[in-house]
Amino acid sequence: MRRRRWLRAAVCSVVLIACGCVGAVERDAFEQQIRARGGGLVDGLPAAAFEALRNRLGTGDIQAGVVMFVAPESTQFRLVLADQPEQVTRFLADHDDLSTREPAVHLRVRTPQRPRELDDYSYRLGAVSASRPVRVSVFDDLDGECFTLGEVPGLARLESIVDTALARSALADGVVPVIVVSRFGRDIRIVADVTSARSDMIAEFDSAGTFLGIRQV
Amino acid sequence: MPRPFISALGTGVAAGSIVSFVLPLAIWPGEAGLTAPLFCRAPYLDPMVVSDTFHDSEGTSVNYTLYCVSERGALTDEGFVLPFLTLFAAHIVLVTAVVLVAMLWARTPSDPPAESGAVEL
Repeated sequence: MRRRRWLRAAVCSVVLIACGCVGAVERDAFEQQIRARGGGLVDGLPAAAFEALRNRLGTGDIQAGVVMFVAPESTQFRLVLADQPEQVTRFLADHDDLSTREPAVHLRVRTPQRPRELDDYSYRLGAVSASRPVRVSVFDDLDGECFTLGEVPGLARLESIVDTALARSALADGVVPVIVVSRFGRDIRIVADVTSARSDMIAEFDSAGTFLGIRQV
Repeated sequence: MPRPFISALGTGVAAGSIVSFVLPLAIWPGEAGLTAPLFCRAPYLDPMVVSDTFHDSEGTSVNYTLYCVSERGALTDEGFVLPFLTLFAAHIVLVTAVVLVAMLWARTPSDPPAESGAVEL
């Protein structure tokens, strides 16, 4: 009988040890870890999103007005820009909440067959969302605002852009929660926000991904 | 089928069910991370079990999700059902194996007294 009791104790011990190896993490702690690693803003993300959208639209020549890469943060979305272009302002006004649980790409693109129309798409976890129609004003200069996705080769080096922005910011606990691609004036710019508990900074890159400058806001 | 195996399997199913439903859902949900070799492929090699707590009029509920995460924070969502079913099967196999070994060990006969037929006076 003593041996059987010992065996039962051994069985319980094995089960408990097998079960108790690792624990779950809360959502906010998980997202914090993801942002600290780079927010999932990897080199392959733009190409995968663009390819999925090309397949959806059935055309290789997609024109976009705003492309936005967002790292996971489900409790809030915060974007800091200097000299914010009109099309980015309209894009933000049309979306109450751009916070996301997974790395996401938001795109505002021209409808291929009807160039005076815009649609919004989101790309997450390998899938493109349904199109969302955008209200366009006669005063909106779509020809001046839009660019083809092929005009931004720098997005193939998204990890380098994140790393450069973090390094140039010199913020000890900085993370890059958002990267915006749009025309600022006539030029296409890739703008990376760097935020920390103490400071917000904006790193600017040209369409080829070359670092242009960084400033505190 | 040998009786020890059937008995062990019964114990394994019963204990495995209790373990699978009580421990992963209430005490150690992070156990789902142990299924990473089955669900996480390169470059998404780090398993993380994430809990979402909801409060509503009916009380508090918690959802668990297994994510596979890369070094740069890219991730895949593996949900919880498949990891949970995998753990369910693993618990049954584990408990069955342990009980089977324990039963066979317990049944190992000790040296029986020699039956010589002699009567001790």
